[in-house]
Amino acid sequence: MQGVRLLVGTRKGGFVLTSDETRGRWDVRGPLFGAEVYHMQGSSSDPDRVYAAICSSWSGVVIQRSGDGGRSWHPVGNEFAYADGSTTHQDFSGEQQPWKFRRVWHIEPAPDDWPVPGGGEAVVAGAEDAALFVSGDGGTSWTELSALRKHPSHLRWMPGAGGLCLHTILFDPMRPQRLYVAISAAGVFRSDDAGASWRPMNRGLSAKYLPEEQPEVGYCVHKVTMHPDRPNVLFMQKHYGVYRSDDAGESWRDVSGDLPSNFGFPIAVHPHEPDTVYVVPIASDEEHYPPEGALRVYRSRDGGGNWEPLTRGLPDQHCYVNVLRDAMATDRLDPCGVYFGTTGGQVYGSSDGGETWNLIVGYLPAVLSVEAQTLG
Amino acid sequence: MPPRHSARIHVHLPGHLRRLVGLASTVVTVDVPLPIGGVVTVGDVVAALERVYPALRGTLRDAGSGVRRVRPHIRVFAGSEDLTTSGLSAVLPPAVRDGLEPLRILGAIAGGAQPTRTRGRRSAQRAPDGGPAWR
Repeated sequence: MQGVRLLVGTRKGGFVLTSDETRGRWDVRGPLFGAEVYHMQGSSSDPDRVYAAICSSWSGVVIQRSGDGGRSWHPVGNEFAYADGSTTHQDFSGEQQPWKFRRVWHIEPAPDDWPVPGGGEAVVAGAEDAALFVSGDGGTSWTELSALRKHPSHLRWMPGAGGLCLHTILFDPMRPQRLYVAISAAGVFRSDDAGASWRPMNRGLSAKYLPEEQPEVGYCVHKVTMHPDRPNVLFMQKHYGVYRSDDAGESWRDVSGDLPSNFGFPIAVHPHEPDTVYVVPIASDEEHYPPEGALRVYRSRDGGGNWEPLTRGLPDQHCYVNVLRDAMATDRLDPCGVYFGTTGGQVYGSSDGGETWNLIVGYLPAVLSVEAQTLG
Repeated sequence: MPPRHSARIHVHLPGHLRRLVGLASTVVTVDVPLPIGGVVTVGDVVAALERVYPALRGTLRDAGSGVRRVRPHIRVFAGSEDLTTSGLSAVLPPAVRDGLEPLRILGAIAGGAQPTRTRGRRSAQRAPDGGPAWR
C-alpha cells in the first residue's frame, strides 16, 4: 500500500504528517525538537532515513537523524568548520565581512552513487553564510566542499533579506558528478566534478538591484528545481521573475509570462509531467503576501510562459501569509500530490495535481519547509 | 586522606539541552580532572559534559568557529555569581568545585523555544533574577 509522508519544518519544531494513498486523512506528529527547524529531508534510496536541520540561539545548530521515518531521532554532528575563515564576502552595505557559520538552511541526502570520502552514507548541507558541507558518515562529521566558496566571485556574494544562504542543492540523477547549488544573493553554481570546482550559471538572469545589467554573480535566486528525468531543464523562482534553462544552467530565459507578480519563493515541478510547474506568486518584494489577499498557486503546463491560477479550496480573500522557498513539494503518486506550507501555519495539500486543495493542518507555527516522501 | 584526582561537579542543565541528550533529571554529575592547585574552570566542566554527552558538542560553546567562549544565550551561574561574561576560563568557586552547590547552566531569557507542559515546570526554569527563562 502506498502513502505519503510530509516533513514539515516550522519556527517552533518539526512535524511529520502521514497519510495513505488517498491523502484524505492525515496523522500529525510533532512538534519535534522544540526549536526552529529550517529543513527536514529524507533519502530517496531509503525513505526511513531522514535528517532535520535545527537551529536555536540557545543550542546553536543541531542536526538530527532518524532511521525509522521520523519516529525516533538522535543528534549527530553539528561542527561546521569553514575550511578557510580568512576570506570575506559583502554585507548589505557592500562592505567586506568575514564568513560566519550561522545555520543550516537545507540538508540533502546524496544519491547512493555520489562519490564521497569514506564511501559511507553521504549527505550534504547548505549553510548560512553560504557554504556547502558534506558528510560521509550519516551526518556525524562534516567537511566543507570549499572550492565553492573559493570561487573568485565570492567577494561579490551578498546576503538577501534572509541572510547569505545556500538554500538549493540539486543532484543530477544522470551525471553522478554533477550538482547545482543556489545562493541568495549570489546565484546558481554548477559543479561537474562532485564539488571540486564550480562555475557560476547565471547568464540570462537580470539583477535590477545591481548597476551592471548581467553581472557574473549577485542574483537573488529564491529556488531552483528540476525534473529527474530531464535534468538539463531547470526552473527557477527568482527575486523578480520565473526563469527556465534548457541547457543545464548555461543560459536562462524569463518565463514569468502572465503571472500576476514576478515575485515569489518556491517552485516545484510535476513528478510525471516535466513541463508542468507550480509557483506561488507574492505581491512584491516589499509585500510578502499574495496579490489581492487571495492565496493562489499558479500552474504552467507548457514549461512556463502560460500560467493558470489554481484556487479551489484556497482562501480567496483576506489572506496575507507567505510561502517560503522550501515550503512546497510534490509526491510521486498518480495523480500527483502538491503541498505547501504558509507563514500562517497552514499546510495545504492537493491530491489531484493542484485542481483542488484541502487544508491538512491549520495552526502550526510558521512553516519554513515542506518535503514530501512517497512511500510503498 | 589521599589527594583527590578529580572533582565531582553537579551541573544543572536547561531543559532544551536535557531533551537533546535524553536526560530526565535536571542535574547531572560529571568528574573533572583536578589539577595541582585545585582550580576547575567552566571550560573544564563543559569539556567533561561533552565527553559524557557528545550531543552537547557545539551547544554550549561554538564548535565550528573555534571560538572558545560560551555561546550567546547561554548563562552560567555558580550560586548567585554570574560567570557568563567570564566565559570558559571562569574559575569555579570552592562550593561548586567541591560538589556542595551545582553549576547552573541556563538558557538566556530570550533565545529559543522551550515547550513546557505545566506551570510548575516553568517555575523550575526561572532564572536567578526571578524572571522566566523561557520565551
